[in-house]
Amino acid sequence: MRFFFIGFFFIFHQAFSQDLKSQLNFEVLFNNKVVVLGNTYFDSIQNDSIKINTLKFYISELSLEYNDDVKRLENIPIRQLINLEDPKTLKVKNIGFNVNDIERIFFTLGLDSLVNVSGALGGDLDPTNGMYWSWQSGYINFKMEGVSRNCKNRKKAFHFHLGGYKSPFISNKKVTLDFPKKDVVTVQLDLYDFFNKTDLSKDFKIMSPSKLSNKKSEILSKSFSIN
Amino acid sequence: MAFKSIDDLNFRSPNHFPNPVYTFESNPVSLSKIELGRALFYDPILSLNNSISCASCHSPFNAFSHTDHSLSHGIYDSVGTRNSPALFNLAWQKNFMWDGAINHLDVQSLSPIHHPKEMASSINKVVEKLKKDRFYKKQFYKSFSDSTITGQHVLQSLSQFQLSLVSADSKYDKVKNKKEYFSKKEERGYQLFKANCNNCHLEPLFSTYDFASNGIPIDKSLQDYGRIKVTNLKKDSNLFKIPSLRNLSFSYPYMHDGRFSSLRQVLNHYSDGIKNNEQSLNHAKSMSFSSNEKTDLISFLMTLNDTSFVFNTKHQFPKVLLSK
Repeated sequence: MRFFFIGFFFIFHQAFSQDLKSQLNFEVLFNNKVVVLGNTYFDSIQNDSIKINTLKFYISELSLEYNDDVKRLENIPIRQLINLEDPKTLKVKNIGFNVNDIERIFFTLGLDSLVNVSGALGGDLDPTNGMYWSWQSGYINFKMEGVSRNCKNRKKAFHFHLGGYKSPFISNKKVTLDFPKKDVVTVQLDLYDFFNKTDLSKDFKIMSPSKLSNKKSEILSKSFSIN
Repeated sequence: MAFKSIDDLNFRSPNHFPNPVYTFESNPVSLSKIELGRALFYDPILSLNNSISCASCHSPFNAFSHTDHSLSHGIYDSVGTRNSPALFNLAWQKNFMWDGAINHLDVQSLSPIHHPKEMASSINKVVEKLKKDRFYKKQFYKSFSDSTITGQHVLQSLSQFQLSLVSADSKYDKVKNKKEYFSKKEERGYQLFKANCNNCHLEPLFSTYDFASNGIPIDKSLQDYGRIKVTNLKKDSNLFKIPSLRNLSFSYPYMHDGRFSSLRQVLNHYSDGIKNNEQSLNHAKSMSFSSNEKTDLISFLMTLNDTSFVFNTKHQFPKVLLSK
């Protein structure tokens, strides 16, 4: 009987602890509208209509800056693939936190160089996720494919495979955001600025580490906000 | 052969070799994984139409290279742009492919699996096919205690078999271990080798596995400029990975594009072929060898042939594939 109560207390305590913690979600927007794969969005700057069919990216090196009596940083060792095709990937796995004391959140859009030289890895890092280049070693940090009216490529298709872990083409980018005092915290990536600054009639393909890949990754890293 | 033990009990490094660079802790070697990797290596299931296996271009009898063709051919008789390199002593190598585009043995297999002129498949297609195969489901369970086949486990198994391809039992190795002696001709060749070749083809692996230009001009029909494709640095134009000189009798033709079919042609190039080649001035130096010296050098190079490696039945086609 005593064990029953201890067991019950443990389960109750765990459930209660979970209640105190919040979850972190990701969301992708196009000019403040939630992106749905296959839907068409209008870019008024480029006068283009855009349909996104694939959107995946890695987040890693996540850390939370607390300001309870003193400032401190909690590092959360995740390397997660956010895949718009699979809604459950939009929720950051295995973390929970007390929102009240957090001031800022830091994460990397993409993967660190160590993971790029560590051979065949599993789970979100398994090459079957379509985020590993085969002709040259290295992960694709951010992959976006779709079609646009202005695109001059075959079948009007654009392909942005942004990656690169070696200098001078290191395309992973740090993101820093102020943390809101809310229970449901959503990190939003708005693609509008990316497409505003991309003339798809000329720039429709990035498939290898390059200056342009770095530039596009930089734009994306500045397109995050938190809600 | 004398061995020294390293952390991984199933992989032993020959005593006269440096420490391997492969990270065994992330993929500890086991006999069942080696056997699984061996089956995958010889199974054409890896290619799109089940016609090409790794062994198609990496035959055990050719020290796991491909002879008779200057450029290797893959699916639908497609001819690629490079001569398939010999596979042995891979645990001592950091970069793979002639231009070093691949940074780890575990991910090397992705390249031929995906290449449209090699296997024209994808790691996803391979995993899907293997998941439907009873033999492999059983073998993966045996090796990884998990019947769910993943890309990671496919690649790691292929690595394990390739790690087992250690060539360290040539006459040269026996001389180093004081079990045999060089003939006078071989000894003269060894001295010539040490004076002229050892900087790039560093013994006992017979390569630094670095990148260099050896002065051969660009084949304009291929437009292959080697390492520059990976680094985008001008200084890396026409640099290719330095191959090991072990097992040369089994792994002809020579060079990244297989342009030389005999060792005599290679030595003639180093002796006479570099002088007029402006592209190579910053890299290879011309070496002056008399005809007798070339013969001595070739005699020495023959001591690097490792027949017990090339004809090792543990590396050959696994009979289990016939009955699966």
